[in-house]
Amino acid sequence: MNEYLSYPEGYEKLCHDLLPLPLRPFKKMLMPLFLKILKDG
Amino acid sequence: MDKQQKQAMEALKAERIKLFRDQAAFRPTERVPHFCNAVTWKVFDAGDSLPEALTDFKVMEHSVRHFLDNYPVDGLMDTGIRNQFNVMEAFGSEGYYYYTDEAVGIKDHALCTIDTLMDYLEDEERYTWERVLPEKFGDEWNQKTLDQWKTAFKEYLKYTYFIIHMGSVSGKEYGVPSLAPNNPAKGAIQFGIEELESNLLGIKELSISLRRHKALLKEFCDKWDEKHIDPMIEKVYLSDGPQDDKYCFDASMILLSHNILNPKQFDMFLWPSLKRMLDAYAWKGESVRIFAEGSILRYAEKFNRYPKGTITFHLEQDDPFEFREAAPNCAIMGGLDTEMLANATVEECIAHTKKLCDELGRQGGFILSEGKMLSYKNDAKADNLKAICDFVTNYKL
Repeated sequence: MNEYLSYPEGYEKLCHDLLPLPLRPFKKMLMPLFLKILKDG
Repeated sequence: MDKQQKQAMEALKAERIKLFRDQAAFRPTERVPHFCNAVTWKVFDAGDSLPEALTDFKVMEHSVRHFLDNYPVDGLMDTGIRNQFNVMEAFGSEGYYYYTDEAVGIKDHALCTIDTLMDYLEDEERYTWERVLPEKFGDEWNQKTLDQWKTAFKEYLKYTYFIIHMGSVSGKEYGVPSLAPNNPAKGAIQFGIEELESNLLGIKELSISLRRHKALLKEFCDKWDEKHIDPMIEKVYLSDGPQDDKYCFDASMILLSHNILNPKQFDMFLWPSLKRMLDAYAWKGESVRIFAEGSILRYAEKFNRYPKGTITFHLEQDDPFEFREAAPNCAIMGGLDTEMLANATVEECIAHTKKLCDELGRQGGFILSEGKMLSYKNDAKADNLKAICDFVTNYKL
């Protein structure tokens, strides 16, 4: 079972694993557009 | 670039912003500015390949620089930043958008059904995670590894850097200003009915649902606009007023749904929120550009209640002379169609441009632009576009 599939736990874990430490404060700015590209692109 | 060149470009950019602002506010100017709507046509004109330009930022930058080096435009709608293909390819999956050697296309898609619309609205992130992405990527979704996520995210960061880089190239090296302070990370101005048509239901399902599920759609639109549009309206009222030293307009929005809405539906689904938003911009003395896809002529009078300087309509298919008659308070952006750019002679193009400048621009209220995006190779002859650029740069009103 893929550990990232659930929401919000899996999604939050992915954000944590994906964002390097210096970018974590910008999570709320970076992740919505990333998700938007995956969703609409 | 040395310091002197940088200062010259800053001055040129400021001059161009003033030209756009003055024309939008019906203040006469020395000449009519040209905000060019060239998109992938730039790639073909530069002799580059579309698949390469869409997947290699250096090639895309070459195409954009080639355009700016050869066509003296005052503004450029797209600086090569509409290519997000690397993100999807790095993710190892096909998306809705695709490209060939000739064009970029999009497959029909809908993120919701009429039955799931309210679930989406309740928690968009959850719905995206639990419904949209698993359905879009099928079996692949369960198998995505952290490495795939990281590769895709890295491409996404490169893409955002490229957006910033190209903004800097066009502004600092070519004196070409930004259109409006849109921030894609915070979301564009998108009304509920527009989101239903573009992403959530699609044109066909929305058209059917407008007759069969009117009450549900109304509830969705009201709640969507309350959630997404109301905070934007509040920000406009709290803002410091026009940002006329930085941008050509204070806001930019795209309208498409008016093409499938009858007047009653327009009044029910789009106008209430659109009106409240335009009221806010008018109150603050701010300038809005509205790109009206298709034709909005039949609703032109509604917008004429706003004072000159509030709205500039970028017309995709409407005749600018007819539109001026119908809404004399709205400035017009447009006038150049691909039929003429592709098939007319240089002399015919210049005669038409001169007529536009003389009849629509002399008293202010007109910005030259291409109605449709220049996308395909045959959307314009290079000689025609070059002649128009040279003419409008030098023609004094």
